Amino acid sequence: MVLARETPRLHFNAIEPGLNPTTGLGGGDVGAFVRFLQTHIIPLLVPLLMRFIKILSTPKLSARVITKILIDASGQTGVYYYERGHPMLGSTLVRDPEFTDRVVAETRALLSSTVPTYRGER
Amino acid sequence: MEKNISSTVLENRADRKAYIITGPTSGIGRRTALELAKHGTVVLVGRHREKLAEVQKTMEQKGQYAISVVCDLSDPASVRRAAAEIIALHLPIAGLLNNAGIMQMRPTKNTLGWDMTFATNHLGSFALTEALVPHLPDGANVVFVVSAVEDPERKPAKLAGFRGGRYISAQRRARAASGSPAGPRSRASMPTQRRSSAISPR
Repeated sequence: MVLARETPRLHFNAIEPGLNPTTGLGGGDVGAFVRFLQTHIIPLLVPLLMRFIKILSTPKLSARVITKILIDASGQTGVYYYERGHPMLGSTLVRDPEFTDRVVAETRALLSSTVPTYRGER
Repeated sequence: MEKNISSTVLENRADRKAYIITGPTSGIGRRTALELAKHGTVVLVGRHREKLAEVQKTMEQKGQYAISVVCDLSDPASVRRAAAEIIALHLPIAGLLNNAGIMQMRPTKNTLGWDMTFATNHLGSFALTEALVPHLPDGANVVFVVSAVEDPERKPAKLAGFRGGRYISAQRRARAASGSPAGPRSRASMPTQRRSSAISPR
């Protein structure tokens, strides 16, 4: 969220979409049995378990939350949202400006040093 | 870099807000792309042309508008080409959603020797955003889909101090618990400054 500080004319926000076991993320590396569970069994269980496991979510619910944030015209910037679309505190490191500045600076340095065409346009 | 731009989209692009989304062909990205299509033209950015075409076709069958831009986020050169292609479209971009991400059980590397997950999830989104930022109009939204699931400090929102979408500081909660005058009635919406400090402490 260094970007939010650097460019106040734009609005930078982050969303943690929750635990989405039905997306198939990482499914390419798992066996047929796990893929079967991901495709046919887990989608049936998630709606039942969401009541008890709050961080569980579905792509449909996540899509609604993310879309709401992306089309939002309120001007909020630098906000970390959780899976239900409300603000949450980021981790200690995320809230440490020295650390986040360093992450951004080193990312730019890595891209600039390795990719000749990268200019780090800002 | 290849693109698939229907004439219908180009004819209507000036009248509709546009939203860019990475990783729109599966999971959360696909559902979000379909949701975003209700609000404007969607620029679909992904690796697989065939999968992009399928999502685009789904939208067009509903009378919605989409443009596909093939891009491998793990390859910075590909990212720059995709960004240049998007900029050249001259769309009224209202938002960029950095959604794409991979999770590998067996780590692999890209052509530069970088870890594929790091290159895709972090570097790719970063490079795309940095390339597009100078061309985004004032007020545009840039959203990153991130993961806090691995954060060892993450607590359920209630324990972190949120009540119904409102943040209540530990001091206020303590006062409320002790029954002091500044107790329950002192609840306040999480102020903007506090919200910003969630990820932008300065």
